Amino acid sequence: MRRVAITGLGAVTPAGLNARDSWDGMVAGRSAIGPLELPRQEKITVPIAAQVKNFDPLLHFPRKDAGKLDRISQFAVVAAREALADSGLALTPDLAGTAMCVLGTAVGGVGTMDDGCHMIYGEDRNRVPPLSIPKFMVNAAASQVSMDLGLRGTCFAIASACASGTHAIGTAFQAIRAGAADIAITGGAEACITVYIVVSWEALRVLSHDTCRPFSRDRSGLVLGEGAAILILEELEHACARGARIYAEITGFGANADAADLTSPDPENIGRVMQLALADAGLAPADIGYINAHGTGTAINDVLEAGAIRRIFSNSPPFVSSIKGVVGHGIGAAGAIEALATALTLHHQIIPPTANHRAPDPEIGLDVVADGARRIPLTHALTNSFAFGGLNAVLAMRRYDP
Amino acid sequence: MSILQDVTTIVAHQLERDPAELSETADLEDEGLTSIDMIEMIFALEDKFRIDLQYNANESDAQRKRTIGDIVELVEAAIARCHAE
Repeated sequence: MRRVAITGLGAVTPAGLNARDSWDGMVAGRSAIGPLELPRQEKITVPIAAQVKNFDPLLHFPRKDAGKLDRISQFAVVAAREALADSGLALTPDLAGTAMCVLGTAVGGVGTMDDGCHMIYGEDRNRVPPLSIPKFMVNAAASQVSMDLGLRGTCFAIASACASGTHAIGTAFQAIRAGAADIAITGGAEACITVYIVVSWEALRVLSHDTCRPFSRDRSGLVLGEGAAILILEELEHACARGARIYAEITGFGANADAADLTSPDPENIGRVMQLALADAGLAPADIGYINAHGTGTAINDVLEAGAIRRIFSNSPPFVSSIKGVVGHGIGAAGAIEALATALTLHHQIIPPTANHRAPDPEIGLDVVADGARRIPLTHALTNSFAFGGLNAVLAMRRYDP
Repeated sequence: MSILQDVTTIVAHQLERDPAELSETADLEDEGLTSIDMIEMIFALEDKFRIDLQYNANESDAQRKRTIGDIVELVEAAIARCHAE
């Protein structure tokens, strides 16, 4: 069986403009949630978000090119360049010819769409900028990464709301394991903090006006985030042959659909999807030392996720934490940011804490890593994603031990 | 129409039921109201009465809004806030 290594990481998150700074913020439990700042924000009532601040596209793109990329694609390309450089891979024509590029996003370039709709309905204009369509199409970020790096293998976007990043990485993992590619540039990106999207989230009544407190008794809802995380996946022997640094191995992927409620996860099924990932990796529950939880900080998600974990792990669950207290909910990018965090957890043997967690909730009943990062020997970990529409995805990862 | 009648009409519409079948004290979850029904209903009530309802699905108070009577109280409080402002 071909094995799959993670050999490069890149990120643009509310916690930092690269993977290292993002990880440092997660380990420090430094919440990047702050006052929401947006043009035309007067109709928004929620005061906070986890925004990527101080991101200057002109540091990365010539002015003329920057305008061709929606913010989501800018995040994705910057993170992908970092990940590729971090991997040390030389993209020969042969390798580039089969390199996969699979990125998750829930909604694509909605900043461009929001601006265009404002021009038509708000300013009563008849025209929008000519590149609106190729900027906001859902595959824009994947296509821009492919064009920027010269990747000519299979390339597409995966849309499964809050599980998009996880589904993308799982799909790329399966392709490499099956021999369809030797390397893949994969992950997720999102930049959906726009007036229309925030007001739409407000209508669902799940946004916190306080902060994101996953698994805490006083949790008050989710906080919108944005950003991108990119992983370079590489067939293990290919990576070893060139002496690559290996952060972790991906060993299993589980995915399923609730076919039930539109917004609330199915407690049985989100347990089953963890079992699917374990079975795919050939693991028993007792092998798992850590779960990077979906942990959105909503009343319903956290209690259902905790219940499923307790059930699957026979009431002796592993350590659990959620990084959403630091980076908010990155929607289509969330699963990718969390996969990056899980790989670095295994690499550094440090569990990032659940920022803003103040008080244990008796209904949760998990060992939630809350007060500071925890250094502990870890071999196997899971990372969970559960999406609106009942779409669930879980990755299993192993510490790489040569 | 009274607030009770208006609320009952909106609840009944959401449940696709006859308002006459719904009592002020019946548990709406038992009557088949889902969490999404609740959110849609809150939106309809805000439009109808031109108010902002203090409703967050994450607060334990939300779990206590179980009957038409509870929702009438929520609406009345919001109307009182409007008059006070």
